[in-house]
Amino acid sequence: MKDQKKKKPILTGTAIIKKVLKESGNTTLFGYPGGAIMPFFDEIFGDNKIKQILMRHEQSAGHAAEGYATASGKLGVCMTTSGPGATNLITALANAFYDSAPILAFSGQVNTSLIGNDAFQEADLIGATMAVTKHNYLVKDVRDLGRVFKEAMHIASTGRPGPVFIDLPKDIQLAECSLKEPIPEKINLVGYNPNVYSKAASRQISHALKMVMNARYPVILAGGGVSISNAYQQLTELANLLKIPVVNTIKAKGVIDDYHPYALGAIGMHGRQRSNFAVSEADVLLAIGCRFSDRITGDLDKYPGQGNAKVIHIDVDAAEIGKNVPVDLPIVADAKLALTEMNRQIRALKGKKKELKTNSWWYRWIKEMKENDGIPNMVEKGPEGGIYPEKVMYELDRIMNPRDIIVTEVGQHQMYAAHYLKFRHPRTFITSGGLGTMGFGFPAAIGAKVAKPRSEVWLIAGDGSIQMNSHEMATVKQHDIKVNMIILNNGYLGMVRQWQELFHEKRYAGTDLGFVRNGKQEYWPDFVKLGEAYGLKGRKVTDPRKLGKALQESKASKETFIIEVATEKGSNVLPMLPPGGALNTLYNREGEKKSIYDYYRRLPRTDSELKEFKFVRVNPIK
Amino acid sequence: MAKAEKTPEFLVALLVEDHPGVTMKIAGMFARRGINLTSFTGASSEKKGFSRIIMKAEGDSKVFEQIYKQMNKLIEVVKVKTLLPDNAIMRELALVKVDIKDAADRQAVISLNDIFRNRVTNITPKTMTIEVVGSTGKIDSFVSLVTEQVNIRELARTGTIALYRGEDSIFMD
Repeated sequence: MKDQKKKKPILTGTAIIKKVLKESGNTTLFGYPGGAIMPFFDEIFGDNKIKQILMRHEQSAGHAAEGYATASGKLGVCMTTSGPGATNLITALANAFYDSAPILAFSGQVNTSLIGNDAFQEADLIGATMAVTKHNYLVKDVRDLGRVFKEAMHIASTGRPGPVFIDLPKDIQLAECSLKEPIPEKINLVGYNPNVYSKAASRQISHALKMVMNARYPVILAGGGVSISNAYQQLTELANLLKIPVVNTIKAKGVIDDYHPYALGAIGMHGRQRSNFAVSEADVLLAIGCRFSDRITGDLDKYPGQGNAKVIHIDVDAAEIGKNVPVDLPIVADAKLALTEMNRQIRALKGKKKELKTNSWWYRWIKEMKENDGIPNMVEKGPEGGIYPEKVMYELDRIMNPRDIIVTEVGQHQMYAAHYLKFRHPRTFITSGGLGTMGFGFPAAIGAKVAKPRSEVWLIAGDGSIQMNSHEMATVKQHDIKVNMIILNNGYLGMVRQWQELFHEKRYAGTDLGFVRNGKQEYWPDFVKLGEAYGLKGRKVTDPRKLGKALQESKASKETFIIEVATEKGSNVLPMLPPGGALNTLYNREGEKKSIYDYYRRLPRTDSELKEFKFVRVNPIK
Repeated sequence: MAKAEKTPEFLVALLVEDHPGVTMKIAGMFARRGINLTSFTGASSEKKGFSRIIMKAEGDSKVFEQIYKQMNKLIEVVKVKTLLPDNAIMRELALVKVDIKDAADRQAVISLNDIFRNRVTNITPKTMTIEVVGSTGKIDSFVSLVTEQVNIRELARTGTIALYRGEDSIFMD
């Protein structure tokens, strides 16, 4: 008996995984079972320290893990079975890869002896996930399991975060590990040393400061990296110290308070025109943690500052620097560490040296841009009898608590939300920015609510997107997860329809979600009834005046509530940049192609221009 | 008509962890970014568990910079370096099997071999297999000259391998 007590219990593969997850505090798992992952599900069955959320599709499990990770800043974990279970996960992995979310995903695999034999539910996931993960592993020996899981978590959540995928053959899950120390204390990855800060960065930062302070129109562009590295306080401090305007990408909403006097809002195709104008007029652009995606740059030859601005780029991923936009001053560093150092250097400057070269027109312009910054309250119905999406944003903005989390699907509703809603705190806006995955929102909202149970979570969806993963209504019912679902139903795939209207001569190919049968216009489903099928309550709103009340009702509800908004069919997200066009061109609210100088006065560039310059308001479009 | 400019090429040398699938990850990175690999050689290195991979790809310095950074991001890649002709020793090996019809053919190939300092590794009444070692350019010119004399039946090339000259090396610290 004594001997038996002394002996350490031999751990099986699944016990090792559970132990690693518990020791690292990652005990919320989003998943879907199946043959090859059964041993792991069996391992966690009845363990009240592990919270397993059963989703209704593997893709949702991945998105929910991302919603969880984005809302909490922690690692998101999801698991599926082999073959179709794992291939269903790929979209979610790709989405997390683009948006640099820390995800640990693992799936079952057929027994090692069967790998390569085209066994039942076998798929090559190492090959399939290669292009959409930061790293991946196939575990072929149970003795590697503890190390692989520790490494995977480390890789997923450090440097530029991203998804890491582990392929777990069933026999490895069941095997017993003979090692004395199945989970190594330390990991040693020779090929992985993310450069978060170096001495060279400090020198580069002092050069950057000189460039910014000598600029006439300096602009800070904050990207998702600012949110990921939790550098929001440092960013706000920098804006205050230097008094320069901050524009943000869609992934960086909330990193600076939208009510901050220098926060101009989102840039890009559907961003704020004032933000695009600021970048278009800038002579120095300080970009922090962004990828310069085509949706924010437009024509690269004329970006930024019409192709004449100097670019300082801070990013933890060296491969992002100079990839799309030529960079004058690269700084490979974590955003938080770099901004902390930059602020320290500014405070160390004495007296007049702190003054920027920039001129008062810049401030006057920014001040004017921040006036009347509210959301239009469009109380009337549109010409086709629908509610304007702006009205939904207006009412939501009124009812929203600053700590509430907004999650969106992908499409027009996403752009309306990003354009109009005000965010005051980081990690309160969750959206699929890079990959643009329809179907991301609902499961991500579930993940966000699980991460932040005390925050109200609002899902803004379109009728197209919500149908990609609407089955998750079963998940919210079963696990008692409350999401306020706002479905903007315009009967169209609105964003594509908008492009067809503007660029394809109004040929609405494949975008009309309704149909005419026997001379009658029909549209299915009825989303409130769909919710009823899952045991959820909801309300259909057709009168803009009743919208506020419906939102109140949803907020007061204890469980998931569905608000279906009969949305104006032909409403477009305007103004917008023409695809591939420069930042100083736009389609105005009427859908006409214009120059930005029809709305904003070109700012003086030289000293002589400055002397003669008179500030004339040119009917700004914000 | 101006002659089309030759696409610039660069040579990348990697030291990588020797796992199954590493080659796929590296080659996949080139494919994904739309970059054409012209040569790829990989085999074990001086250190157990690590392989040395040497690749030649088409692209200018911007393409190289992006590939360099992307390679560095792969977890299994321990070291990435570029090699230039003036700081590196580069070699390629080719095996060339030619058809021999008569003694004149044989004599012509042997004299070419003398000039190129090639070795004949196999000879039959109807064929000759020649081992050519040198720069890619040397092999190219041998191939084009030998084609003028005889028919090439089969040609196999290793692709370029390279090491730094002198004490510079790509190894683990």
